[in-house]
Formats: sequence, structure tokens, C-alpha cells
Amino acid sequence: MNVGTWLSRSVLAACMLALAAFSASQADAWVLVVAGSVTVAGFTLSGGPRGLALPPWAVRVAVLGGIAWGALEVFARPGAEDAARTVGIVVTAGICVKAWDRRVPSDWRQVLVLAMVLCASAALHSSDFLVGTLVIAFAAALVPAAMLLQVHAGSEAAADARRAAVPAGRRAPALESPLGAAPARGMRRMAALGALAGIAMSVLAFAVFPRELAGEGGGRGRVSGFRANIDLWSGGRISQSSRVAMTVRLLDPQDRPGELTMPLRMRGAVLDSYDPAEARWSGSGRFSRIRRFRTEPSGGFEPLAQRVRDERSNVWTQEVQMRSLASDRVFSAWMPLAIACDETRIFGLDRRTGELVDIGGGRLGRPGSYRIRMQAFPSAASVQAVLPASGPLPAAGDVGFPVARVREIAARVLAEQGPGNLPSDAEIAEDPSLRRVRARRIAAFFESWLSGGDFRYSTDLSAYRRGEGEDPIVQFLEVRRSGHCELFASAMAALCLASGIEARVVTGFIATEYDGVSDRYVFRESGAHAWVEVRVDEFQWMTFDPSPLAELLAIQQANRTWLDGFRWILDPVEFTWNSRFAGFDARAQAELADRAGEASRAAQAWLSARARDASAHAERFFMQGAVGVAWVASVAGALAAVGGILAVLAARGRRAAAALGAPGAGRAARMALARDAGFYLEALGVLERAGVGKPSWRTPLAHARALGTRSRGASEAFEAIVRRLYAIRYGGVRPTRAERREAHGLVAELRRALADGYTR
Amino acid sequence: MRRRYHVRAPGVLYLLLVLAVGLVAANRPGNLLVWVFAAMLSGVLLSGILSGWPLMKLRVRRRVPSTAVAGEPLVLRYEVSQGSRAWPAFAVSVRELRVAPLGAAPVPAPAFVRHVGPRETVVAESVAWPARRGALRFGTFRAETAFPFGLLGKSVRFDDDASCLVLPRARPLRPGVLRELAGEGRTGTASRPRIGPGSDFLGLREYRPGDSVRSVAWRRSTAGGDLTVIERSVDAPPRVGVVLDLRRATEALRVEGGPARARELEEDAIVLAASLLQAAASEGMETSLAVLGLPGPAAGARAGRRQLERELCALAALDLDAPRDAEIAFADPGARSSVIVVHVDRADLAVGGPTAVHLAAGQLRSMTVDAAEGAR
Repeated sequence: MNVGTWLSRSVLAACMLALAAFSASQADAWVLVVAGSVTVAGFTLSGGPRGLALPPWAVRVAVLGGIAWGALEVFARPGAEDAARTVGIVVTAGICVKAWDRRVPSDWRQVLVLAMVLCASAALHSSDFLVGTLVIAFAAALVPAAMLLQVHAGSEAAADARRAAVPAGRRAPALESPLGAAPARGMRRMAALGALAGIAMSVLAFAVFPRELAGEGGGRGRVSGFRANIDLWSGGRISQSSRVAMTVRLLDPQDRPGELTMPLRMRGAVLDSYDPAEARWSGSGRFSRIRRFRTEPSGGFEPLAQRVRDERSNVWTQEVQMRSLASDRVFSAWMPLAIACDETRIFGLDRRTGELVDIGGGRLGRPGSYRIRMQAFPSAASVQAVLPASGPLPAAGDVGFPVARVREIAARVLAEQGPGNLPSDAEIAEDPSLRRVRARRIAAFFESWLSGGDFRYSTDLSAYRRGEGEDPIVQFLEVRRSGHCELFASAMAALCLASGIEARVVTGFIATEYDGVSDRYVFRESGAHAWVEVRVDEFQWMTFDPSPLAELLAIQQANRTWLDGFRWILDPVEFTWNSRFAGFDARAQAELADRAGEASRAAQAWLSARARDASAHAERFFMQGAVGVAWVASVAGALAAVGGILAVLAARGRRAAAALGAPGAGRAARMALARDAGFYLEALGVLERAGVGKPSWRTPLAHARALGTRSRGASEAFEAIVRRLYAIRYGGVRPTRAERREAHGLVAELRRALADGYTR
Repeated sequence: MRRRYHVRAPGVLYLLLVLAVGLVAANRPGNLLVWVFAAMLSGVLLSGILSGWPLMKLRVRRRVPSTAVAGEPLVLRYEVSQGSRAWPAFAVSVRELRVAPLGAAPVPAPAFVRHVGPRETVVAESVAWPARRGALRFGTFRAETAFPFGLLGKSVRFDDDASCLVLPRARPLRPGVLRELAGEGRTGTASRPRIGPGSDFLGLREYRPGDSVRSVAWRRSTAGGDLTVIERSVDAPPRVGVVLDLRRATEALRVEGGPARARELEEDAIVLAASLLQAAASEGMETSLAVLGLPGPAAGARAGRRQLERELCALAALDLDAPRDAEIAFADPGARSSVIVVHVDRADLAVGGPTAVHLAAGQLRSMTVDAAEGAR
């Protein structure tokens, strides 16, 4: 077994897996191509005494330069996401540099630590299936690499110590660290055991790690760009992935599939509260008015309100098939009237906003498919029935936006460029229905103003800087004038609110593709989108999308690659990963605990039932009731005790025979030896516990004398014990009870002498 | 045997890294990072289990040679046996914890076993460099491993006392020195009662085919009628008696440089005596050793390797800290022996007889060569 060669290969494999994981987390294959090539070349060419290694000063300069660059980048971009990425880049560079360095055991250790940090950075950035697979593979590859490193480092350290101990001018004899037979097999076995045990322990620790109740948008590690809350400062999570998140089939009221409208928007979360301090949109009072609905595999549609159970006017059916996306959100194109699922699940409906969410109902993971009955243009009665908590239409003065500068911009833009035929306050006071007209016209104006060309759609938000008193919406409207859909939707909602019109941001997905073969809309992860709903009437909200659609479509199209045609192969696996692992949150943890509890209770119940059956059977057999059971239990207990005692005696006899050099003695002889020479076994135990146990290759008398170097009293006591043993074992002496007692007294003396410590 | 766990520096750093990852995992959403933290934590537990498990049935037996030579490598061998039926042990270091007396030899570098399989025994070696002669005692030693990850180490202590007698390092004499010192003892003046190619008459016997014609006793053969052959005896080898004068205590020696220098001179005297004995034994001479002032060997002059070993062991066992007895008489080895008396500081011509040659310890380097110089 050439440890050095194996170690080099193992470490290289681990480094490549770490680089691949980081590359996948950044969705940038060039990281793997460039860094991987440099690393492979470095490991290959720099090994051995004639390897092409960098001089030490160059390595130090490169490492220090990388650290300095990283520090500057972290100061320049202090966000957690950017910092993690910077750390990953610095570590990647470090691995590439170390690959070209001459390696001693400490260098191998550094490379493995760098690879671990790189994997942690990748895991911090993404919980994607590919990243997860690579991280797990890295963990499995790290085990043998670390083991081989220990063997190699120990060997090198021993050789160095040996060389250092040689006096000047002398030569030491050549010594080799020995290997047993089949070391490779032993190493493989230990590595496999270590990897399996490590993964098992890590799964257990993962399951019990404390988690917050996510509740909103899934657990830790959602992989799509969809978010149930919007942080405008953390725009770096805009997904560019063209992986299919879900597919949707629309059935008309006659249950005929077809392409209805393009693009199609699917509503996931409603955000109606803006926190200017954090620049964050969230749902106010989300799920405070929730109603639960239970679906059964064969139960059909569950209506969300009794009054809409028989609604048939303009009712469409939406069939959603989740692909890579595993979310607790239920996406719907229009207002939902009923829901059906092929699994037993519990769904919750927010009766104010109409958001639907999967609560679980005893199942781990997320629903893979569901069906929604929805109404394209719901009547006021339907809306009132399904969303009774939507509340009355607020007065214009009660609606506002907390950022003063946005109010100023809204007023100025409306005054300068707004539609001229807006109903005045006096006209609205006379005819309240004109309020709907006003709201619609203002919203349409803002939509066209934002999408008209003055603002550019872009996913690059690097120019946005968080500062004291700064608001990203104001920066978007006045300074940058470019951003992604969240900024467009936030700006329009803010302008509407500032103009006294109730508006809210809606997040979900937008589909720009239709598969005519399967009659399905294709929603991709890059299709995560945000738009605006404006309240024009008490029970009517209108949808507005201020993002420039043409630019959005162009960006999405540019992200397509030839791999998209093959992604469907991994979709089921990815969904399972996202549903069971990435989406594992506090709710799933609680369900797992409940299931474990149920299984434990079921096992206890089964055991109890079996015990009761056995008891009843015994009672019937003895026909004496409780007394008979007690008698049987006593007899069984006595038999068990006797059996135990016999077993103990037999074991003692065997031990005695082995210790006294008579392994082939008969049962009677063994029992006699155990009785007569038990004091010797006790003395051996005393010596073992004191740390001066008798080696198997040394005779008892020799050991007694060897004890003399540590404790004369112990030596004398043990010698006396040994002489009595010899008399019994070889001299045929049969000690009396008093003599046996005396011999046990010698053991106590031995114990005292050893406890007194070493004396001479 | 006593078992113990050790927390190592890499383990501490690793724990800090685990804590850092755990803090980030607790504050940032990401189930994969949680799993990474869980995996790193399980690595610590696994390290403790896998480092201790193979050592549960590991047994080590030390083999120490009975003698060694000062300044020469002393190879210690450790028989490492893995009693487990299923699990091997990797990266096991065996190190001595204490070598007595202090200063006699530095603690040797640890022996290292890369792998010992289930139910196997391998032998690892370590080298000690005894600096001076005397009894070298080895006590407790320890087998330890930090396998598999180097985070936690486990050790098992074995209590096994062993000793090794370190012989003085004899130096080769310069050419011609022994011939000058041995004098008439060089040629031999006696015979031995053994048949050999000597010149002295030993006895007569019948002729056997193959006997030399020159050994036939013609007169006796003529008288007796049968061929008779003369048997001759072996010439006794030259005999050299070395007397080591240690009657004066170290403090009483007149030496510049204090007690340390005096002790060095005493050791030089011992080395010189050993060098003389070794040179004489290598020439086939009979040797004898007498030590004045300390208990010494009682055997008479003999030739051969065993005699030399006995004499060197006697020199090795000399305890210069023991009280000196100036009254120990010196037994004259006989007229045909050359006597060489080695003194420490000043010669006492009364010792050894009128024909004895007196040497001082300070002449060690002038009369001998260093082994390296001799090799050149």
C-alpha cells in the first residue's frame, strides 16, 4: 500500500468535489473548469522530489495577496451572501496555489481544511440538489483522505523524530514502519464504516437541529427564486436557473385543455406591508384568519366555501404538477374556489388575501401535485364567500406609504404626466363608484410609466448601496432606474399607496412557454416574478405588471441552454430532494417526532398486547388465576437465578482453567480449580486494575519478582499468592476453607500494598 | 494498562470551526449547511470512537537487548498485537515515557506502526542512543493513536520494567601499542594440556593412518615393535592482565576542572581498560581484569568472547558513586602474564609488580583511535 500515492489521489478527489460543489452553488461552470484544471495539473506535476513546485516565497505571496484581496472585497461588499462568495473565491485560489506547493503533512491538512471551508461556503449559498449531492460526496471522500493523512503524517513524524534523535556524526540503522497483511482491505473497511456511521450520525443530528417555524415559503433552503417576503436590499438571490419548477394544465369549464393566455401568472404570496427600515415587504397578519381544508386521495374537490360549492360560471380547473420546486405554497392563477390533491393533506386558506398554503396533515415533504378550481372574473358574492376577511374598502386618506420621498414622487409624476381625466375628490364624494375609475386609471398610468421605457429591466443590482436613510424604491425611481421585477412591483405598489390607492405586491411565477404536446404551461425557476394587485372595489382587485415584459422574456431566453432538454430526467429526484431535505422545517421536524412517537407507542402497545396474551394463556393453563401467575413467575425467576448462577460458575471455571494453564480440564476439575484457586484470579484482577497486570507471556513468579521494582510489599504479597497457587495447581494440595480465607486475605494485603503506592 | 483520551490542537481548531459553522447555520437559512454542521459534529464523535475502538484489544510487548554499547544505537523492538477479530489498528505510535537514570540516554524516538491487522502481530522498532555505560532501565511505555481524523487521540499505557546493561565503548588501539605494552607475554611461555601443534611433549599413542611421519617416535617404535607417535601440546596464548585502579574516590582525585572532570577521567580509565581488553582478546590472548577499590570480577584469565563479555559487563556495572575500598588486594596473575595497570590521575608503582606497565586515563586518546578516524 503506497500511502503517499493514495493520499495524493484522495485529497485531489476531495478537492475536485469541493470545487465542483462551489461551482454548482455559483452556477458558474468556469470555476470548476479553470480551478479544477489548475488543481489537477498542480497535484500531478508538483509531486515527487523532481516535481515542478512553486518556490515557497511565491506561495506565501499568493496566499497573502489572496487574503488581502478577500478582506478588501468583504469590506466593499459586507453582505452575508457576498462575503460567503468572496470567501469561496479566496479559498478556491488557495487550493489552486497549494496544489503547486511542495507538500508535507501539515500542507495536506491545510488543503483538506480549505476544501471543507469551500464546501461550507457552497452549502451556505445553495441547497440545490446538485450542490447537495456534491457536498455529500465530498464528505464521503473526506473520510478516507483524512485516514490516509493520519497514517502518512504519523509515518513522517516518526521518521523526522528518528532523524532528529541521531547524534551528530552518527548514522541510524534503517527502520521501516511495519504494515500488517492486507492493509488496503482494512483501510477500505474502516473508511466505509466511518463514512456510513458519519452519515447516519449526521442525519440524526440534522433531524434534531432546532429550527424556526418557517411557515412562509418553506424551510431552510428553498431553491427557487420565489420568495414569500421581499428584501429589496438582498437582491442577489434572483434566480437565473432555467430548471422547470412546475407545469400547469388549464382546463376550461368544459374540461378541455388549452392555452388561455400568455404569459400566465401564478399567485403564491401576497405582501401588503412595507417596512422602510429594512426595505422589506411582508404579509401583514398573514394567516391570522385561516381556515383549514382536508383533502383525501379519492375525495374529489374540497370547496373553500360552501356558497361556491356549486359555482359553475366561468370556473376553470388548474392542474399543477411540481417538478423541481417543493414549496408549501399553493399557486393559483385566479381566485381559488376548491382544491383537490391525490394525497391526504391539510391546506390553509388566508381568508383575507386568498393565499393557500400546505400545512401538512401528518405527511412529510410537500405535495407533488394538486388541482385548483378557480374563477377568472369572480363575482363579488364568490369573493365575499371565499374571502370574508378581506375587509371594507378603506378611505383614501387611510391609505398611504411610509416613505415621504415616494409620496412626493408620486404627486409630482401624477401632476406632470398623469392622466388628465381623473375624477376629483368632489366628484367621488358625489358618486363613490368613480373611485374605482380613479384607482384603475392611476394604476394603469403608473404601470405604463414604469414599463414605458424610462426604466430598464435588469437583474444586476450591484449598483444599489445601502446607506443611512436610503430607500431602494427611491433609488430605483430617481437614480438607478433599472432593476428587477421586485423593484418594479415595489415601486408601483408604493406609488399607488402614496396616491391613496390600496395596492399590494404579489409574488409567484410567470410562464412564457406553453408545451403544445402535453398542453401544459412551463414555469421555470427563473420565472419567479412579482407584480401588483390594486384594489378597485370592495371585492375586486386588478392585476398590473409594471415590469417590461419584452426585456424580461429576452433575459429568460438568454439563460436557456441545451441542458434544459434533459433536465426532466432529474426532476423526480430533485423534487424529492427539495421536498424532503431542503424543505425540512420545524413542521416536518414535529411530524417526524410525532411519527417516531406513534411508532414507539405502537410498539409498546404491541408488546403489551403480547404480554397480556401470554399472561392470559398461562392463566388458562394453570387455572389458578393471579396466584398461579405469581407462582409461575416465582418458579421462572428462581430457575433464571439458578441458571444465571450456574452460568457464572461455569464461566468462572473456564476462566480459572484458562488462567491457570488447564484449559482442557473437565468440568469437575474446572469447578474445583475455580473454588480453590479463585484467590489467584482475584489477585490478577487487582493487578489489572492497578495498572500492573500480568502479561500472558510472563510466568506468575517472574511477575511477582518484577513487581519488586515498584512495590516490595506488593511483590511479597503476590509471591505468597503464587506459591499457594503452585501448591494447589502442581502440588495437589486441597486447601481447607480456612486456608482459602487466608489466601483471600493475602489478596487484600496485595490490594493495600498497591494502594500505598510505589515503595522500595 | 491505563487508557486515556487526549484532545489535540487540530481537534481544538476543528471544534472552533464547527462552532462557527453551527452559528452560521443557526442564523442563515440553508438545510444543506445544517447538514454540513451535523456532519462535522459527527466527525468529532466518530473520531473518538474509531480512535479508541481498535486500541481496546491492542497489546504491546517490548523486547530490550540485554546489553548495548555506549554511543552505539540500541534497537528496541515492540511486538504490537491486535487482539480484535475484525478491526485493524492504524497509525499507532509506541513511545517510552521514562528512561532511567536521567541523562543516561535521551528518550528514544517513538516507534510507529502503520497498520496491524486483526489477530496479527507486527514488530516495530525504535532506536535509543545510550550516552554512557551502566544499567539503563525502561519503565512505562505508551501506545497511542489519533487515527482516523487526528482530532482526538487515545493512548494505552503499559507498565513493563526492563533493563539493559550498556557496555563501555572500547576504542581501537593504535598499531603496535598492544605489542609494546604486552611485552614478553606476547610470545607465550607455557603450554596447555591440549593436543596441538606445539613443541612440548604431551604423550604417546599408537600410530593411526594419516599421522605425520615426523611425529613417529622411532626409538620407542623399534623397542615396542609397533609404530608409536608423539603427541605435542598447544602453546598457551599470551596472557594480559588489566588492573583498573579506582581506589581513590572521585573527590580525592587531583584533577583540574573539578569533580566533573574527575568523573570524566574515571570513565576514560574504564574505556581504556575496555579497549585494552578488547584488543587483547581480538589477538587471541588470555585476559583477566582486576578492579581495585570496587567489587570486580573474580574469574581467572581466559581467552575467548565470553571472557571478554564478562569483563566488559563488569566494567559496565562499576558504580563510581559507591564507597571505595583501598584495602582490596590485588591477586598477581602470574609470572607469565603481562600486567597493565590503568590509573585515573597518578600512578602507584606498588601495584602490579615490577614488570607491570602503568598507564593513566589521560593517555586514552593518545593510545587509541576514534572509530571514525580508524575507519578513515
